Amino acid sequence: MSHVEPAVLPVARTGSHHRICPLCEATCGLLVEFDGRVARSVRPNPDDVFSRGHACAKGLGLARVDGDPDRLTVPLVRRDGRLEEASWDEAFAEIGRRLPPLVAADPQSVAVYTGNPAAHHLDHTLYLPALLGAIGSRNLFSPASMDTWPKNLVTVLLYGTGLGMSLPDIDRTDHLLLLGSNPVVSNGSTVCAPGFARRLDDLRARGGTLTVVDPARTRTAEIADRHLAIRPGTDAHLLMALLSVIDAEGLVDPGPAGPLVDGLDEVLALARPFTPERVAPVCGVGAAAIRDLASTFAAARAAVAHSRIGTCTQEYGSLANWLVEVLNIATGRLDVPGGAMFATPPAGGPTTWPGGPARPQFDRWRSRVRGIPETLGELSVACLAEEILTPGPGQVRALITIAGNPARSVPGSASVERALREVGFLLCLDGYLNETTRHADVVLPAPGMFAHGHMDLTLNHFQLRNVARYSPPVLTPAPGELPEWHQVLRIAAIVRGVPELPVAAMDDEVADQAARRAARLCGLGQDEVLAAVSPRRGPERLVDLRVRSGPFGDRFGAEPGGLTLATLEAAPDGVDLGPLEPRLPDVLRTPDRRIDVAPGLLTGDVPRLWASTRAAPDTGLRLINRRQHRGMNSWLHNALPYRDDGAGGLMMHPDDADRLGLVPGELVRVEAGPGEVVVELRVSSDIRPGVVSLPHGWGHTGDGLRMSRATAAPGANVNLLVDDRSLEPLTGTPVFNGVPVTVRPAGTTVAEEARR
Amino acid sequence: MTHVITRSCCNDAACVEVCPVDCIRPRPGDPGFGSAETLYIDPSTCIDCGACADVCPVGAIVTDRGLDDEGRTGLALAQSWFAQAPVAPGPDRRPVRSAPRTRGGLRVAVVGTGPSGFYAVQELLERTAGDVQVSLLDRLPVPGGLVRYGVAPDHGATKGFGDGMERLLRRPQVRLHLNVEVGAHVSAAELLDGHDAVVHAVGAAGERRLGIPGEDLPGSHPARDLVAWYNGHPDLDGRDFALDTERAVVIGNGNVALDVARILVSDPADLATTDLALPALQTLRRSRIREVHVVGRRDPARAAFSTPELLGLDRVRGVQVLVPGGEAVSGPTTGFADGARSGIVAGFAGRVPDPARRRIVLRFGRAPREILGGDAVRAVRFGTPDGGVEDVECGLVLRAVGYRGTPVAGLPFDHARAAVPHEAGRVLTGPGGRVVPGHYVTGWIKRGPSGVIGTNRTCAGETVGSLLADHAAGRLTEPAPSAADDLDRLLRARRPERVGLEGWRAIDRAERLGGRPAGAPRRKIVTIDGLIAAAGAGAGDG
Repeated sequence: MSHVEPAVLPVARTGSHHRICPLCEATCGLLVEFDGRVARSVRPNPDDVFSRGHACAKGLGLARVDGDPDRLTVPLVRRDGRLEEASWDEAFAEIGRRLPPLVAADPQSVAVYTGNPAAHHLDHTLYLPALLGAIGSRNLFSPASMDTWPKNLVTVLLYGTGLGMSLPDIDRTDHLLLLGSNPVVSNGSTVCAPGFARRLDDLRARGGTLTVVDPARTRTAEIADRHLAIRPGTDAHLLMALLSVIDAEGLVDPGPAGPLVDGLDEVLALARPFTPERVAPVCGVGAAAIRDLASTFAAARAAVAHSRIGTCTQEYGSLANWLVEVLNIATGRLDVPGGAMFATPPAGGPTTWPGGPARPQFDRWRSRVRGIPETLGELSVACLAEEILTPGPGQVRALITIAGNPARSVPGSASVERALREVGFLLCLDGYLNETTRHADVVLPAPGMFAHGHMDLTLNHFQLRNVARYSPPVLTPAPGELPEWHQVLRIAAIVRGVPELPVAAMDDEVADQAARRAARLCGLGQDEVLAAVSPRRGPERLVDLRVRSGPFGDRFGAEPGGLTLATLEAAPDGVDLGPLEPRLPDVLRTPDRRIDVAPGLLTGDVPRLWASTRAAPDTGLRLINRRQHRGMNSWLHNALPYRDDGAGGLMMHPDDADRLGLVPGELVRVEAGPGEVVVELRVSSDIRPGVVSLPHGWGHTGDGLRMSRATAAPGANVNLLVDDRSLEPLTGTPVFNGVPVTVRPAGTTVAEEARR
Repeated sequence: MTHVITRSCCNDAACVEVCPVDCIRPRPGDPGFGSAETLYIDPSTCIDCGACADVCPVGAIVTDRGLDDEGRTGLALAQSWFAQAPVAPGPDRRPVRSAPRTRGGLRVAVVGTGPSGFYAVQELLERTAGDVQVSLLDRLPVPGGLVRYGVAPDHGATKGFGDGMERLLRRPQVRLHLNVEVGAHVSAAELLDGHDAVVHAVGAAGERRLGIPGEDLPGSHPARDLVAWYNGHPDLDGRDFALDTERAVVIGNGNVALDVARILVSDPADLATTDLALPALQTLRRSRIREVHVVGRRDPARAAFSTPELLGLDRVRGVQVLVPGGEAVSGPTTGFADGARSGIVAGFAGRVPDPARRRIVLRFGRAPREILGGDAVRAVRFGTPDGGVEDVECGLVLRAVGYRGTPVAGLPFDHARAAVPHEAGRVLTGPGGRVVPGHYVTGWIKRGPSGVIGTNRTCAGETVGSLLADHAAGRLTEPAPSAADDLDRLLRARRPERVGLEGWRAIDRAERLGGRPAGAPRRKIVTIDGLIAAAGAGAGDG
């Protein structure tokens, strides 16, 4: 077997190259200086039409990520129990020996876990469907199920697609209400707003109000006009109370979206009993503050509520995210400037393509072991380990991970690592020998950060301004590197039993499919559109098809001046397509093209919320998550290392430390249902009493890792504490925020000993 | 929007390494890094990413949203720094850390647990990627050196440096031996027998003398003793200072001079919420001191204190800072800090004394000639710039003219420099002499008592670099395979009162819990016996 040599692209010698940061949803424009193949420096691009000179420590560390000496460059194959370097042909041969028999016996026996970086990579966005189609398994997993699902579900139910989220128009609003989000540190999520902190400064400078609801006084809460230090997991209660006040005070006015909205009265009736007085003791927030927030929010000329991960990965995640939409709708904020608006993705997508799912992309099938419903074509990561470890028909016997580290990202790490050890065949596409890939049978290394083109086809649905940007590849793949799309198509060919099928032929198949959609969108023939994008091949051909058939596209010549990939290549700072415009009703993909704000699935969960207001007040400690400036889940700790693992300590309020007789700086043992960790205690009044926090993505311990700097400051793995059986009931999203824990002195002086 | 470095900057430049836009100055290797008062963030280049704040060992870095007084001062200083030394566009010139290089199996003893010992261990761990075993010794039953016993109790942020030290002690490669004195319980030669190398990081145990009549009169003390006393150093156990006088004079005007002046006039109620030692607090509560003169030889521009400390002095509750008008004038200034200091001092001049407040009076251009008094200090006689003399009446004199290294048992000593002779950290038989194999020095005992906490990082980097090069070149003698056990056995026999990490954790816990009723971060145990008792069952283990 031999692989196809990638097309030859110019090799950067020196000088500045434009690059959109692929690390997070801020998608900042960067300028990268090269010296030969080595990225020497990374700077913010002041002329980028979207990020306008913003960047953060992660993006500007891209050269260190690319140049990390621990990054894998050669395929690894397990022989006699040890991972050894191998040629690409040997690696694909091993895959060919192990994978096809399993797929042939039962497609469901092969699971795929796609990590977060894959969502920021064209190759995976465009070519993974070919591989997943070849496998035909429903055992598909991604971090979405421990991140955005409650929000996706609500968006599916209200607006018709998972990606068509309403976005907070923070640049034009007068009152931004943020729940469970710390964008000053995280840069924001499910909203692309590069320079989020600067935008918040601007909001306040123009006299606007920032309200932050968060159990911790985060960096974002620090700059807020008001901070409600809420108890974890009670955002839905608070939102219900806001609705009840707005209703009682006659402030409901759905505005221009009103004629499209059904069921508002039903929701308001459900909210009525959730008075501020009723929820105040549950939320740990004063009733007066809730009333004041409700009337201030409703009275603002322009206002918008936005919820993120803290509201998603909790007990009432779907309800909380639903009620945020209801609050925006009830106060007339939907689809108006300064309110909750919809982006128009420049390369098109579910909210611009005609038609829509016949039925919601939810609960079309269920997981084998626990019967957890599917969401947007995937199953909850909480099911991953049990699907591997539970015998019976349909048991997962092979796992493919793509740029993912479930051993650290997924709750219940102990069982996840056992599953990774025990699964019959583990194939990993990754850049590091990390806590997951160390268990692999075959590891295929990812090329460096600059050898592929970049456009955020998925994240463009979340842009706060309509802009179109594309970064062409800067480098040819280095000798021995194989582009990800080649890897994916080679595996797809192997799975289909045609291992010798050239990548070019596979690519043509994918392009044919893409061309069919593009042709349909533009009323042209498939051959015409394919001819128009010739001689491009690979991801660039597919992107050109999407851009030209997209909402701003040139429709393959029919709209001169419209966007093409070539116009984007000629505009390295990006093309500004203007502020968000109202998109109702065209953006809707619900079957009746209306907005039902009272779907039975969600209203049916309200009694559970109500019951919780009658439960005895919670007196134990609850664990929440904490964001970090230089962390990106588990994968940047080696390229952007910390000197020690102090950053990973347990944050606790002084009153709790006093009560428990704990002193700052000492090692404490944090125990939860599934396990325990030993970490340093950090005492700070920045967190509310009764709540403790840990960051995620740490715990770089154990044998077989090749991350010399990350393992020197390993930190503790929070997912040893998070229970894969404690799930939000509607979506199966694990509860990361509000984990009941106990904390006591560690009884050991050496953290590493405790970890063994 | 930008981040700002505030007063407690430790200069260790961890921030410089993580800054993605290289906007922190001066950098290690830049001219003036060694003498910089603090590092500065360029507000016009900073992208406000917060990476520096995450790694600052003393929590000195804040955003400019909602700055307090100290923050605004820091921002103003940064702005004026970069006005005179703009960040030149160009390639990143930060030193690149070389990849860890080790021959493996290295075993090193580090003597001293202050900042210089801390950085020596840290550099050893970093540069060998953890492939090293370290025995860390201190003659006291507690680690920390001058972080515990030198940093002023009201500089809580700087004390935060101890958190990073604590993490280092927990590293599995480090074995802690406290309450063990090299020379008394184990000799330097024995230590070297059990290790590939010994790094001496013992600081400067003595003080410089004025060499004037009356220096040893009752009521005249080294400032170092007062510092050790209010910080609860067990060597000062049982000592007390008579504060039954209205005026004290501090001779010298470095940061130690400012520290003692500040502590002497601070409201004891404020000090009660710091880790100031309880016996000292009781004495300070009875103090009659209303005024402290801090007297230096030179003009304000050339004074030894740092700008941030000078500004901090003016923020002490209930205290007024005064400067006699005629003394606030400086000669021509050259450096950035000189100009800043003279400007600030000039701003203090002309204030009307407020009888309701206690005072710190900064005095300049006065050289001490004699300490006057019969049975006790009555005044200090200073020479003035016009050739005359001035007697400042006082009942307490504190001599703050610098620390001085003292000979280290088993090592050569350069009396002229009051430090151990060395070449890039390798101990020499004498100045310009031969290398004494296996022995290294870092910190004040190597370079003399100058620099701030973070200065020791670069210093330790040089020493550890020499050590690793010698190890790689086979110039070190490998210890016996049983060396670790042998040392434990030897210490068990000779020093049963040895305190290990478990013991220190027990002390730390007891002290921190002891501070809670007063709202203090800790209440220090101030006697050796008390410390050993607190170490309790932990002593000898761990």
